[in-house]
Amino acid sequence: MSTKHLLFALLMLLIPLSSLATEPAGISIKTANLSRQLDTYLLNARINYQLSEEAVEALHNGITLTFNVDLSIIEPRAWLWNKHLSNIQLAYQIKYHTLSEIYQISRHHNNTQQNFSSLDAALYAIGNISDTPIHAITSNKQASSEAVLTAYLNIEALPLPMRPLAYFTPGWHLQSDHYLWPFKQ
Amino acid sequence: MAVQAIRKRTYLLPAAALLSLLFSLYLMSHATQSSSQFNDLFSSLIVINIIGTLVLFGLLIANIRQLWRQFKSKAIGSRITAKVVLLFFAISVIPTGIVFYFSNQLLHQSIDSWFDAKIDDAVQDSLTLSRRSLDNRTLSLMKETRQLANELEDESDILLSLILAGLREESSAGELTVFSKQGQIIATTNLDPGVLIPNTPGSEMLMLAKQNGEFISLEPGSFDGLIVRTLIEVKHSSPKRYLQAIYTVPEDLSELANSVEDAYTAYQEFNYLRSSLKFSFTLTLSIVLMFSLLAASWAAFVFARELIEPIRQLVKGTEAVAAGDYEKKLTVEREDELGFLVNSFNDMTVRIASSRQAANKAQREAEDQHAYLETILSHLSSGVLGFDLSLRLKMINQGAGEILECPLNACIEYSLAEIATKFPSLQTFSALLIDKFSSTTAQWQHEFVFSINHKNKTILLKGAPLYATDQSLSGYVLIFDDVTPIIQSQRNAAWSEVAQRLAHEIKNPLTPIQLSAERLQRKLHGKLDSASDQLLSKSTNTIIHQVSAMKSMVDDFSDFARPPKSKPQPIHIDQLIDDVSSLYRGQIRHLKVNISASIPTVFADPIRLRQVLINLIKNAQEAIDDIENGEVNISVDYQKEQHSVKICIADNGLGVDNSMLTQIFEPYITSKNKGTGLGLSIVKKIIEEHGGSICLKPVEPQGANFIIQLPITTDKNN
Repeated sequence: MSTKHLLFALLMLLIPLSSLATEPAGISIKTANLSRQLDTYLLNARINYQLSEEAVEALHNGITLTFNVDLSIIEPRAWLWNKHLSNIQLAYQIKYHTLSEIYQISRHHNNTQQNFSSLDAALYAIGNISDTPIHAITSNKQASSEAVLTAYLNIEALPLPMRPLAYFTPGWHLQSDHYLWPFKQ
Repeated sequence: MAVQAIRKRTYLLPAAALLSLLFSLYLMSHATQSSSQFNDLFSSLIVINIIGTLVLFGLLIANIRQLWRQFKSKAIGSRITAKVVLLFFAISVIPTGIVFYFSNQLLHQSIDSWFDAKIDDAVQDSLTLSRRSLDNRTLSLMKETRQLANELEDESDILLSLILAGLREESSAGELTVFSKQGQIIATTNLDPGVLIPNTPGSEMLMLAKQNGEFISLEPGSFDGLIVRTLIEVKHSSPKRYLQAIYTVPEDLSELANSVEDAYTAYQEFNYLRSSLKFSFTLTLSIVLMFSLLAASWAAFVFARELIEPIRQLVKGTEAVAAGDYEKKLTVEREDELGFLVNSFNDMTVRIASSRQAANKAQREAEDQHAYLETILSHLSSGVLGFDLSLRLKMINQGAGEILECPLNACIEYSLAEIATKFPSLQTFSALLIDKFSSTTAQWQHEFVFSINHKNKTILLKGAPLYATDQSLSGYVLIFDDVTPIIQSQRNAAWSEVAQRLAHEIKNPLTPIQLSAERLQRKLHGKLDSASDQLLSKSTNTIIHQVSAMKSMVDDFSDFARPPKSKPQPIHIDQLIDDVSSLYRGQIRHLKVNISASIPTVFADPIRLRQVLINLIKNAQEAIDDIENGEVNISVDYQKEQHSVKICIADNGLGVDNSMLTQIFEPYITSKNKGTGLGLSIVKKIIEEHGGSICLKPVEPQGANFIIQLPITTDKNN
């Protein structure tokens, strides 16, 4: 193995370690936008998932984790709560296969699966939403509307016995802030 | 009628809420089963049940606080409520707690018993075995891929598609794809011609392949089976190319491997969830326990309230009845024993009310009767005294006090002996009554003469026993009348008769006697010798004078027996007294007249009243004849309360003997050496004819005081 290869391998090992050491558990949306192609809107987003120790332990113990990405088109109102014009939910599941030691992600909205040999790669994959067609978007053309994106770990999709404790354990409260941007028709 | 309604509470809503909560608990319990359709509702059900339990807890706390306040204020029924609630709580908490404890223990032990070190090892071993088995296969497949990659050495990209198709047919690979260094697909071939997009490796897989020259992984396929992905660098390729071969693991082997993996995953998951499972079951059981306890306690409050309410109402009703409100009526819609009790209470109050009305009516009648008798007795001139068996005074009417001239009203409950002690003038009267009532229980009658306030009174006593309704002797009653005026009038009538007869019988021969004496004197004057003539003259004069004196006396008798007709008219009594007293100013050295201002006029005969005044002043003058510094005081006062004029004529003479005080106004009773003894009788008669009274009171140290009370009547008819 050449020196170059060795350095690359070390770098690859250090990246996840450093990320685990520095970045706290949580979900953050880096970028998000909706582009229009003909009559269909395409969602592009970059979401960073950092699992807590509890979530990683559960994943390695055979628990399937479900992440929901909620996209809403809202009409902000000064004196009332925002009017939701459209609500779209994208669900992602990540599962660890013990026998093959592979992380498998499933996208329910397009029935696709992908296998990854590392957890970071799998999380990167579900965090990378690229040109995902979003149908059934409605908007009020008269008023200015905004798009809101939120990603979170769905506790209700956990096995039943885990749910009560999960609600009271901070490690299971993985949720991003609302990411808002103006929605253009 | 005051109707006190016992409110009938409706517990439909709380009962429905409790049933809903119970159903929610059932759903939650059902949801804990992994296959349950309510699985998704588990968290919501927990929240609903916790909120429901908290609401029940709040209700219980509110009820306990209310009970504590009632207990402190010693409200009716608070003690029974507390006992019932404590009993309910004790009955529910002991069995429920025991069941909870043992269920929890059993659950924990059962869950723990599912896991065992040997099973852990066996499951782990089976997984390792599967891996080893598959590892051998993947290594051989890697070797096969290496050979295929060798076939691609120095091949151009244009020919790769054709070569790959040939290689795939020769090999056991299901899919062959050549990637560039950047991961672009250069060429691909698949056993299934319908698959256009190859199974691309992950970026990290490609990176590992670049790093190590090759990459191999066992992966779950799109379907249930397993696939082996091999990725290897094509040597001597420029630019760098990577061959990926996808092999499908035989179906039987995939099934076995999947089965082992599923079992291992399920076991591992179950083991991981062990504590969560225990927590969930404990939480569910705890909520059920809390719900049971709280519901039982709340039900205890409801039950106690329902039980106590009629009793509380009954107690209030009893208090109202005790306070005299017999109209209190309770309404109850219960059919149980408490309802029967309330109905009995209502019957009782109705009966008490009717009895009370009857008693009130009887009491009113008795009071009316009593008032009637009281009125009659008070207006009776006769005196009535009631005594008990021990001769204690129980009742007295106004007439008795007036006759006996003692305030006997203040002597109620006094014995006769005590009355005699308090009023010495009634000693003989009391002694007589004690003697009479003690000696006989039959009716008796007795005429009794006694002196009171310097007056002799004759009273006629009638005693009788009093019998109760059971014919037992309960006391005595004494009825007496003052017969003094009757006796007096009888005596006066007798005197009048005597006087009239005397006047008639005596006056008739007096005139002939006088005429005969005068005739003798006239006829024989000068015809006799001087001695005889003198004797005759002296004798006839004596006869004439004595006859005149007798005539005067007979006239007095005649006046007493048949007084001239009275002619009353309004007169100023002060003026009359002033006139009369002026006649005696020269004769009585010390005559004092004291007349109060504003004496009203009286309706009287001035001539006869003048006769009275002259008679009394003359009496006083005669009384002080032999007294040095004798004086006569005349006073006139207006007595507004008695509505009368009081005339007092007092002297400081020798006075009247006490024994004569009561008889001085009777005819022929006099303390003087001369006089007919009719003067004061006539005075009394005139005063009584005017509706007044006269009495004589001794004056200290000596003297007598005649007191006249004349009523003020301005109208003749009065």
